[in-house]
Amino acid sequence: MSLYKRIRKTKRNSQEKTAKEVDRQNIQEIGMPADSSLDRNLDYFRQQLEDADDVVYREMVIGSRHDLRAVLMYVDGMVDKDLVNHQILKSLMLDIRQAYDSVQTLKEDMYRILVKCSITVGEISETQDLDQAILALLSGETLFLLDGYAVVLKIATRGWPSRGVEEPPTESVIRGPRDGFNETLRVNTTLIRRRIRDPRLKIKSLKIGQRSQTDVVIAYIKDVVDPNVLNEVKNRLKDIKIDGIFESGYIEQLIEDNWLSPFPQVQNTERPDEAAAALLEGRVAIIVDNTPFVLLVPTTLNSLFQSPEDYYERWLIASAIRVLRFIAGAYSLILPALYIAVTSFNPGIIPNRLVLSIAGSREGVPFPAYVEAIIMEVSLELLREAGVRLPGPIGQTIGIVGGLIIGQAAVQAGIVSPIMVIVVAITAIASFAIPSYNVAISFRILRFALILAAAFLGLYGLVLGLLAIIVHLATLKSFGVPYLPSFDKYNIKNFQDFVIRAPLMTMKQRPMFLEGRDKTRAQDERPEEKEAN
Amino acid sequence: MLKDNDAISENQLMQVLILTIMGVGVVSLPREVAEIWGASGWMLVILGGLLALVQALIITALAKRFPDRTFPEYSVDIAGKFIGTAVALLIAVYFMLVTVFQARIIGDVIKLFLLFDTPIEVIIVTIMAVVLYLVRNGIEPITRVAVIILPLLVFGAFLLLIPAFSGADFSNLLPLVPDNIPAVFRGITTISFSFLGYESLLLLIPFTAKPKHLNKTVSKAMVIVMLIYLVICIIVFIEFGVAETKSLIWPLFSLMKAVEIPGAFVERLEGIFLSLWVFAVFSTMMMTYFCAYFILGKVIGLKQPRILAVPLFPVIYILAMIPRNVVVVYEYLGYFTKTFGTLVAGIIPVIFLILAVIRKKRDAHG
Repeated sequence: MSLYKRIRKTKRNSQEKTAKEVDRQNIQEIGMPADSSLDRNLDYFRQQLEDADDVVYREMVIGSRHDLRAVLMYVDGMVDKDLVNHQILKSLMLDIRQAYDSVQTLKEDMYRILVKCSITVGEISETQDLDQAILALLSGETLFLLDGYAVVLKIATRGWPSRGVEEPPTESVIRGPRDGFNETLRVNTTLIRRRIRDPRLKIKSLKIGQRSQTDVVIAYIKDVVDPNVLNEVKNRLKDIKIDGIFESGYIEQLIEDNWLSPFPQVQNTERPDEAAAALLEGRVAIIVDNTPFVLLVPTTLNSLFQSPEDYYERWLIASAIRVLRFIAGAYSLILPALYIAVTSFNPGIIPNRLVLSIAGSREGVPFPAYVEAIIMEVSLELLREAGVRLPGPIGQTIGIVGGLIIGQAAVQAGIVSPIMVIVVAITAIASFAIPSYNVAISFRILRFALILAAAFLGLYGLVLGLLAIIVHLATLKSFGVPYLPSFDKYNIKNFQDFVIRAPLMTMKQRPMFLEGRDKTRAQDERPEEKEAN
Repeated sequence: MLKDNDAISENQLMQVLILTIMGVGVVSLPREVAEIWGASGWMLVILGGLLALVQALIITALAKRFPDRTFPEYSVDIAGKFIGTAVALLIAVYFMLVTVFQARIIGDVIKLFLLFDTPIEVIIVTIMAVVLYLVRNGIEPITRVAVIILPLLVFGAFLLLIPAFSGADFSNLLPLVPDNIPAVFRGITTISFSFLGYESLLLLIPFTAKPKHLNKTVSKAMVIVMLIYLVICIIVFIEFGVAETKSLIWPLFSLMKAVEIPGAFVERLEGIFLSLWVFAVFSTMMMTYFCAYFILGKVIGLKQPRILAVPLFPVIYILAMIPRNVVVVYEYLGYFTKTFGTLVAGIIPVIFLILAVIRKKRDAHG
């Protein structure tokens, strides 16, 4: 006990220490003022960026008398070369000579003239801090330094090879937009902005990660978002202390409420339409650079059972599909456990003929039902994992070999019963019908827990296991919002977007669980009704 | 982290109340009413329900005088430090013993019907562990669980009861005119015990945020329970007749064993019914366990009563293991409800309400 405590203590100490050291380093690093001497600035840059051979220093002289020294700096490969060559270098070195006279007369304000008149790039900004300039340089901006002026110009020339806007592979729909987020932050914010042209859509950016300095954006709609949730998100993001963020999964794990829970408390999506819809519901989107997965908070259990397609299909069909999806969830959670409970503890509740056929098929199987179930489930998980790792065409082969051949052979060898194979196969299909991968995966874990519960205590164990899951869900919160839909009345409003998907014209209110200010989604009646009036 | 505000709405109060009342009692209720009043027994449910309703409203009236304080906090004001504390302690013990009975009866029933070879200790410990996991998180998760369980229970129970109408004999309900009137006065209190659970209002009402129609809400819950009980009694009567009902320990389970759905996948309903019944007992236990540790914590003067939830666990478990068999359990239970039940649900609230009125104790905006 004491040893354990000591280990934890020293671990915590060392963590605190490193965090402090990093802080101190940061403080030291930030705040190197720019000098008016170009050479001194360049020396600092060269010293800081020593051995960074991808940094390009383009020295030049400006003016007809070649008396004005300047340097252009950028990281090779991270800038749009076309932009740098044509809009900056050409303007500075060639076009400026046409304004010879005015340059001569306004020599004191050379810098201002250059900035205002000759750099034909949309977004520029200044800094007097060399370290900030380095950060900008490493983010893909081009730096412009002019001799005699203690200021660095940052020119937005970011441009690097990136994947185009493609159809997201993890959340495919039959009907719906085909564009998906990609690895570039700006593309992602654009995809959202294009869907919501509301000035109240806020896109706040910050940097997380002491070394990676990853751009992270919090997007929300100001008068719709729940201010409590927004503050909570901001505070939690601020508290993140880590050296690098490479995927939104890092952030998800660092800000979630309960890290012991098998359920995801943060939703992720690759689909801009889903993110935009979530924003209109009053939720907050967290977009991280270098990953197509956007985080949506707060998350409730039913939002993880929804697919954007639900809203594009007509309501009756969408509702039917959603009910089907809940059934799939129930199947993937309890089917093997139910099979075990019924066959090994309480065969009385199913018809005699079925009992006989199950018993007949299990004849010769050397294991009890739960061992059989665990063997089959584990091999299925193996197949699935192997299929993910292998390249596309081979992955399919694995599925066929594993699913058909091994299954058939196992039955013929008398290791498992055919009904068990059916149960496991239906369970697997059902778990693929759950639209969000991270819920499906938590259901897979809980399925094993329920199998064990049913193996020990039969139907009673299964019921207790389900109760424990309900209890766990009831205690779970995502950013202060209860994970279970916490309605208190059984009226239609609470169910309109839960198990069914009500007609759009009836959904005039935003979800009740968030306390945003603008509650109303739509005020107008349907056009036909209006005309009738 | 955002904090739970520990507040529930009036509708949640209703849901929790219904679930707290419906527990182990419902399976033996038809036998009890049949023993007292024969074929007219089902009318007794209405009378017993009305008596329980009056008692529930008395508790509500008492709690409404102190809208922000729980019973152990204001009992001291009303009856003085010694008596007030003693009474609060008595109520805490009462809730604990109710939990004990629930745990023991579910253990016996599950062992008898579902898990023949499993030791009863395992059955009791597992369900109590799940209850403990819930109650130590306070009242809010309890209400969220209630919201899920209630529709499951109500719809599930009625779906199971509908097939019982096939082959029913409505003449079993005759004669409609009861013959033994004096028995009613002895029986009516006994039947009102089946509605026990409403005494949890002592603790539930202070948690209710901005209550407006408390009397209406409480009455609604009581009437809903009464109707459910009534339907169950009538169905058992028309299926078995009075004489047979009297001879069954748990008429409702026997009914589920007897009923068959023609052509359905599920052949015998008792397994499914028992699963639902586990939900019902669980939802009673969650409230009584919560009341027990919360009131006890308040009596001791703890700021965080939830730290008592875990220490209570072994106490409840040991007490639940004391009775030798089902017969003894029901003997104890009958004695317990007659004395403790009357005291906590009937007499104490009346006396405290009268005392509070006489001594003019009430909180500002009560």
